[in-house]
Amino acid sequence: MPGWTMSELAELLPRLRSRVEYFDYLDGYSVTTADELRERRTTRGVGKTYMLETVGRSRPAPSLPSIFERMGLGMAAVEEGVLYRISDPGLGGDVGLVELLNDRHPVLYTLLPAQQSDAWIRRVVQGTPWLDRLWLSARLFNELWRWVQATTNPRRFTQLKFDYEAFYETDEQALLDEDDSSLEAASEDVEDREPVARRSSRFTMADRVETIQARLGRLQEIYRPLYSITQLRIPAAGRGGHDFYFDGKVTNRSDSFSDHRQNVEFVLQTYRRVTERAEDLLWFASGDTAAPAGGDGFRLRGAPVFLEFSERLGEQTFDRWIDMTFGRRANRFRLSGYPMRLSRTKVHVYGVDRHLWQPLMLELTDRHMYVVLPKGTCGNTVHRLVTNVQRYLDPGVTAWVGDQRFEDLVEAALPLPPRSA
Amino acid sequence: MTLDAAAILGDPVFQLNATLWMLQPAPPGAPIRPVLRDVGYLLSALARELPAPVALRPSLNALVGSDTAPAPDVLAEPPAATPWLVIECKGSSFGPDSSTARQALKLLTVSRDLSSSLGLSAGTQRPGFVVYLTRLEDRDRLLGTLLELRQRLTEAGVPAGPAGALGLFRSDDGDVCVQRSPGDSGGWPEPAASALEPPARIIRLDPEEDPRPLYLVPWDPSVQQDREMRAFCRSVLYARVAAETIAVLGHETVPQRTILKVESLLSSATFGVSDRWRSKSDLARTIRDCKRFLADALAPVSERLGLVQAVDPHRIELTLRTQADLDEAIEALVRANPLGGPAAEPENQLSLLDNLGET
Repeated sequence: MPGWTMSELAELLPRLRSRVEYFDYLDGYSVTTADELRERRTTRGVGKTYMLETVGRSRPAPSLPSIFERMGLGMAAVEEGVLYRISDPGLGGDVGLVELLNDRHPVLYTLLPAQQSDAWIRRVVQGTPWLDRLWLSARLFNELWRWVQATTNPRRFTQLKFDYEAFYETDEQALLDEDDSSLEAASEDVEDREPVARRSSRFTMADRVETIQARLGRLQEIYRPLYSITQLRIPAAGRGGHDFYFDGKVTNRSDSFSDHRQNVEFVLQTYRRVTERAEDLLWFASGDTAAPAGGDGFRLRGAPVFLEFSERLGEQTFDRWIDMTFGRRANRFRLSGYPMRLSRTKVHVYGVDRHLWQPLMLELTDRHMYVVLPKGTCGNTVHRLVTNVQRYLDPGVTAWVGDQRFEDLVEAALPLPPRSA
Repeated sequence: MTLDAAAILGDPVFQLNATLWMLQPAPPGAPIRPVLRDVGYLLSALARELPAPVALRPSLNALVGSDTAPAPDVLAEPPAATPWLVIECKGSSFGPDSSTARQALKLLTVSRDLSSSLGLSAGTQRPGFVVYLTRLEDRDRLLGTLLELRQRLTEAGVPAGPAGALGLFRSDDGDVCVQRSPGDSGGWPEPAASALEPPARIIRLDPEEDPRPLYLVPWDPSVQQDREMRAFCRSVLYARVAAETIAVLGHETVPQRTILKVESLLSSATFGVSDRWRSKSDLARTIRDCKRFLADALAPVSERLGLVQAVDPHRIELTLRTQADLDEAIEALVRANPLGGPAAEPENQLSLLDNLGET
């Protein structure tokens, strides 16, 4: 890992004895960093959190320490079952703290500079089928943004980022030879990509909550890429805020680690409720009929995920999407399978999620996608799918789980804001 | 891929899956319309045995020559106070004296009141309505058969439930539609009657688009199919078994001697449906077909991985020494073309292993 030194790591996360000492340290560090940022003379990274998914509800999984240990990483308990110090012997020091904020979603707190921590977490997540990032789709951000509007002083500043790249829509044949392994491109390193002639939109909107609230809807109506929210700053209780990115990264730009942790926990709880509700609805499984007369009949329960594109994909775009997704090992959607082409723009894939190594069935057309997930499949697959469709195919995609809108699941997972109570 | 709409619409596996999608929850704008669910029907069971009430069995036995319980393809639970739908899929019509008619006689008998067959409390009648789904061109002939069978039951003093036929067809603009039979024996019950007349569009398609939806149930070893349709269903089954195998390998750690249990992979690939196949020889043959598909897929890496096809027909063993071995095995399975999978064993030939398995 270029640019890392032992001293840098050791300085960033000292060995402390307890949760209280660590959190005090992180809080103190945040204060210093916020001051430095304010004075525009920071030379160090701010605190970052990476929210992770353990796929724990879907099938028996190894314990968190053993997942990290299999990758040659050290995990020492600061508080058994709750908080761990994580070290990378290859780097000679402690990378950060891992806290099990709930039994499904560990989070990594680190003070490493973004470029280094992004690369490190990418390597860890890609190295195991037992961990995934959280994937915050625009559909989820949209509801979180509504929550911010309903619960924040409208005069506070916030920030939204929008990112859409029509990745499969280009006239350049060379694209098909492009290395697609950068699909996990982290939230802050997308600028480094090679310029390719294709439609692409990246915006940052930083303004008062009331100003964005008054204008965003109209802007989205006339320019669809603005539906593709990829980052939202949730204002902190004090100054600053917490930047939540589409890939589960959260940057603390407030003066309080405690406030940061509370916001991370809030989003995690919402995400978990949405995921588990979606899993309850969509898991396909058979089971014996319940009635005592039984026989050998069986039930089949579940609901498909349906993604409806806001406009028809062009034939070339559709072909590139299929070829680049199922024609190569590394692809943005992290899917594999043999594409069975039924019609010009209708393909069935009975394949796998390459990251979590879980089976799934897909109908892909130029108008929509159906996704069927067998029981036990982690709902994170759906979040990742929606996020990637929104970022690379159609920013205006609408997602449904059975007959329920994805946004409605998110809305139901959020507490009722005081203004609409 | 074939676009012979008549062959597809007449395929019982297509019909079964179309029926399942008619009962799945879906958003308002989805191209597959769950026309039965929209009016309150829920998928209750597939292939559920419906034993006739004991008192009726002697008469039924005299008429049909058997009193084994019929098992309709789909049983749909109705909205309150309306009849259950007892749905059977058929590639074409059949005559009143055919072997298929025996099952129809039983279904008509038990559907008069399903409460006993479903194990529900006595006292409240649970009427059923037998629905035969077929191509539109066979619909009226099939209805004629159902009416004739109902008449025979009545004459034999066996009470029979009402029945109707549904016809599948493609509209001029390409959509798959379904239309109920007119003038049937007992009158279609509401709300199905209104949902299926005028013709209900169940799959919205482009004119040249293949009508097949994702197959939730890809394979039924007991069903009669056109050769091309059979091959397609087999390829879906192979693809699903390959996906289950990849999922197993993806969670392996190396080094490892891995045992792939084909029966277990088949069970996962069919949502557990294969565990309930009645014929052990069907099950054994399908396991062997899947095993040969996996072995062929892994052939390019078989030497490197020390692949062994055990005498036990349910297992394949391979040695994964390194991560590269594991990656190669997975990629071999990903690249395997299920449409070009190995030819299946003849389907009505019992092998030695079948016989052993059934003793």
